[in-house]
Formats: sequence, structure tokens, C-alpha cells
Amino acid sequence: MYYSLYNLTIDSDFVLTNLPYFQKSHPANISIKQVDKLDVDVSLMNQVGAYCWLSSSSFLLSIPRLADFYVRDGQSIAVAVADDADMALVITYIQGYMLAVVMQQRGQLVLHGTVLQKNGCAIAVCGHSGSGKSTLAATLLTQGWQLVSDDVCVFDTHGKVLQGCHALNVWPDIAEVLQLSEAEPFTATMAKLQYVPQVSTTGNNGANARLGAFPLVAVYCLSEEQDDDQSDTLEEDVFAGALSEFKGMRKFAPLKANRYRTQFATAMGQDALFMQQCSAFLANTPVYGLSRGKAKLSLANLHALSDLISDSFEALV
Amino acid sequence: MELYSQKSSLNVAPMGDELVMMDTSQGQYFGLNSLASQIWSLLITPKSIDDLVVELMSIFDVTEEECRADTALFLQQLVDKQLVKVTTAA
Repeated sequence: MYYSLYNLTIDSDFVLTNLPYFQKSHPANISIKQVDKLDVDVSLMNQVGAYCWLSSSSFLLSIPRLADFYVRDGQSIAVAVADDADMALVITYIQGYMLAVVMQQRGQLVLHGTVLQKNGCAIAVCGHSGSGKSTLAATLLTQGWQLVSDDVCVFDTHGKVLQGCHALNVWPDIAEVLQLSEAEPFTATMAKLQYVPQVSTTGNNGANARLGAFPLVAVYCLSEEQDDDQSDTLEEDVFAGALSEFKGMRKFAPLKANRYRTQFATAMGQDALFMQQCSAFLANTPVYGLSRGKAKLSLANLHALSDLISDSFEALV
Repeated sequence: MELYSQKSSLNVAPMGDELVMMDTSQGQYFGLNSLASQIWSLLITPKSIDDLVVELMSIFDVTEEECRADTALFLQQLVDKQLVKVTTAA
């Protein structure tokens, strides 16, 4: 089956989910093959994690009792699935992690962020795992925003962000609070639910949506930091959040901190490329720090944070 | 006389009117503010502190004494962080 993701065509042995698909294609840009066993010489690669090896053009992730994934030259993913593996989880790894590595190998800028768009203009909500990216994105989806990509923000060579997978992974309690009744379990081993938002057919987002690439209006970097002077609170003594803009060279540190798998990209020798891409694509794009406080996000928090984003977005467009 | 010039192993990228640089030999990132970026741009060819002071005084409204002191301080910071090449003029 052939699929479309990040404006590339994928020929996959695995059934991918929530992606446009079709039966026939010209030669695909990326092939995903299921193999019985991987034969990879790791002596030529650097070990960068307990189960992970890489070089400038190859990447191996070997997860016991799940699968071995081998990504090469930004063109191919070979997967050897373990017996009795959770296939839905394998596919989750392929669609998120592995295809992000493919895009990094292709030399494209990839940030660790969830992308949303309104009227054809996109924002990226970045942050480390567990920072609340998807939770905040789910809140924004209930307020008229459209999902572009969850967890992976891929740029094209012109600095636009590319359409990713049409699904968002959200915590069950958040899905309940936000009344995302369509959210449902995707794998037996993942705690998060998968939410596939309805795609709006109205609004002024047609051209960019058809092209699958959106101009990025702003980047919001979530953090738990809360300065003493950031004492704005809501009625229930809940921290209302604080937005501060990074300017000039100070943009670079938060962008680097939110580069997708930044330690891997460094090991792939892409630091200078990353810096040049940030300069080329993001020098004129506002980058904000969005402090969410240390406490677990409540609905009041989420609405306050989403208001900060929406207000600053409206002031920019 | 010592001449200062940009080190060739640096990758430099503008962010607005400021600069981010990465020294591939040190594996470190550095940032230059707007003023520092302007001085840095003058070092594309080797220059003495006297050359720099003359050029900077033609750009900024500053006394020679103040300009020389600030430039010397900045150059020393660049030397300390190994961001410039220092050669001796014949």
C-alpha cells in the first residue's frame, strides 16, 4: 500500500493509520519493509543509547520483545518484528519516531513539537516529553484549531511545516475533561488514547492544506519554570501561565533544546545544518517561552494557556 | 602588531541582527549581540585594533578612548573563547 506523509510517498508493508493512502504510485520516496531478521554491522555505528546505534546515514533501534528498526539514507525502514509483539505499537514507532528519523536523515529540520493551524497559518507547541504538548494541543483543537502534526514538526526546504499524521495521542483524563468522546485506545500497551479530530472543510485554509505545507507563525516552547514575578493566578490559585518572547540569538537555545532527538542529530553531524536552518527558517518567526507551572494541568490552566497562545497568534496574523 | 580575523572553523548564522556561531573544533555555541556582530563582520579580513577603532569611530558616535577600551575588551573575549585567529603583522 502507498501512503502520503510529509509530502512524500511511502511504500509500506505495514498498514499505517490515519494517513492518505492509495494503491499505485510512481516509485515511492520511502520504503518500509518487514523482514525476518536484520543483519546490521553496528561496529561501524556509534552507540547513542541502550538500544540505539547510528551513523550519519543509518539508524538502528532495537527494542526487546517489540522490534528492530533500521532506517537508512532517509529512504528505507526495515523492521524485524518480535514474536507476539504489539503490532499497533510497532506501527506507532514507525509512524512517529522512525519517519522523523527518516526526515532528519534527509537533512530536513525536525522539532519536537505538535503543530496546529488556523486559517492556513501554523504554530508549533514544543516541549520535552511529558511537558503537555499534546494536552495543550487537544485543548486548542476544541477551540477551532486544526491538527497538522502531533509530536513531530517537520519543515520542508522552504521553511514551511509539513502535514503529518491526522491523529493526536492524549491522556484518558484529558480526553474526558475535554469531552473528546471519539478518543479511543490504539494499542494495548500505550496509556494514551488516540484522538482523530474531524477535519474542517470550512475556513480559509484550503490552499495550504491542499499543498500539505503551512507557514509557521510562531513557536511556543513549554516549560515548567515559574519565576517568582510570574505570580498571575486564576481564581482557584492556579498559575495562569506566562508568555515571554526570545529574541535574536536567544531564540537559538530553546530551539536547540526542542530539536527532535537532539542528541541523535548531534551524533549524525547535523549541528551546523540545524543552526543554518534555524537562521534561514526561524530568524523572523517569534519564539516564545510558555511557562505552564509545575502543577498538573487543570482545565482552568489549559484554557489560560490556550488563551495566551490564541491571543498572541491573533496579534501576529 | 597583532591582527585579528574570523576563525575559519566557525559556522555562523544570523538570527535577526544578532549572530549565533558554532565552533566545530570546540563543539560549542556562542551568541553575538547586534554591536558585537558588527565588529565581528569587520574581522572578515585581518585587522589591528587601530584599524578597528578607526572603522568603528566612523560608524558610532564614540570617543576614541572609549572605543579603544571597549574594542580591546571585546577582542580579548574573542581570543579567550578562541573565536578569532591572531597573527602578527610583519
